[in-house]
Amino acid sequence: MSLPDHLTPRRHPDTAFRVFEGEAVLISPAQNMVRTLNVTGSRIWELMDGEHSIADIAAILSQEFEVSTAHALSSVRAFVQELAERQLVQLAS
Amino acid sequence: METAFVLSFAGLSFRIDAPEPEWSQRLQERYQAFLADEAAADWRIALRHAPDLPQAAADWARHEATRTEFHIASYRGRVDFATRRAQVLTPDLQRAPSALARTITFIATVILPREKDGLLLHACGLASDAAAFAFCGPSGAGKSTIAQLVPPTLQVMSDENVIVRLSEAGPILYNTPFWGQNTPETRIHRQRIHRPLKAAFILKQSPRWSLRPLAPSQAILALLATEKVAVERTPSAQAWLDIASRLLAQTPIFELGFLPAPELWSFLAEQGFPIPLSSPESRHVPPRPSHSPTPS
Repeated sequence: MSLPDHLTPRRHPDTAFRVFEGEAVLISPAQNMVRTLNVTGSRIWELMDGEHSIADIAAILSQEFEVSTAHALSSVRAFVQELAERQLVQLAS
Repeated sequence: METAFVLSFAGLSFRIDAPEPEWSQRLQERYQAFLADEAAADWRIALRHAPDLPQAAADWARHEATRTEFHIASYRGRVDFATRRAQVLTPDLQRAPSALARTITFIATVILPREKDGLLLHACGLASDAAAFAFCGPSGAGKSTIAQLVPPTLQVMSDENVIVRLSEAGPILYNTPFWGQNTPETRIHRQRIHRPLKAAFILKQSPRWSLRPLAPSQAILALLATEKVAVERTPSAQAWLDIASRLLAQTPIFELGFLPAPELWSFLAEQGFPIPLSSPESRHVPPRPSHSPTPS
């Protein structure tokens, strides 16, 4: 089941990150995990500030990366879902 | 006889309380070049003699709030970052240097990014008259081999632990008193050395020579894989990433595929790293990586 578009994802406060030339490196001591994100994933990560909804993020990505809103929405939902399952983001409605 | 002494390097200082005068004397002889005025100590480390301390069945470390406890090999201890005190137990004098090295390098990995604009690098540091190079890697990557191949124009700073600190003039590489556990004493020369860091190389044993500039995120992952990195707590990890980011802005980092042979130095010279290297024009700038439009 995909996530509702009105949810506002927020980066988990226990995840350290830094963006290097557009690519984010995430470190989660609690998960004992290091992960890199490509440019698109990094942009989504930066927008997950607890203020932007999934729909907001998809709209911004659609504009910045020149892809359809439907494609952006699908990508953002899947990406947020994956990060939520890994406890790297928190979801609020 | 006083059993306490102070070790100082790269802007860090540790007062060591040894359990017996003989321990203190032997350790001071070992670390003579790094002894300092007692008043300079920021940290206090109690070294304790525990003759019945068993070998850890499995190494462990536990991090809670400001405290870390550990039992690694035959060393057991605790570190409190709030009080800046630590205690480490070891079964005999012979293993006391390793116990101290493990404890102090762990403390350094945590406090350097947070307080000193620096990082401890798990690296072999080499210095010329004017510059330094760091050859980084996890255990078994070839740091000791690099140290054994060193040409006369370069001096080994340490084959295991060096410290880089950022400054307005650029990154400076400092040595530490701590060398590889298996390095013969005859090869160890403990002297205080610091030089401008010109480049860092991530070691990769390979059937052929190669040198590849690393994109920033690749360099970060490679440095994280070198083991001695403070990512045990979120603030530590964030501080490490922030300092590493600044280091990358000032220092080129390469993946060095190498064979354990003295031709290493001529290979590096062919790549624009004459030994000794003094010209800033020979720096390499990593190219920008290509990106996929799909999140990963």
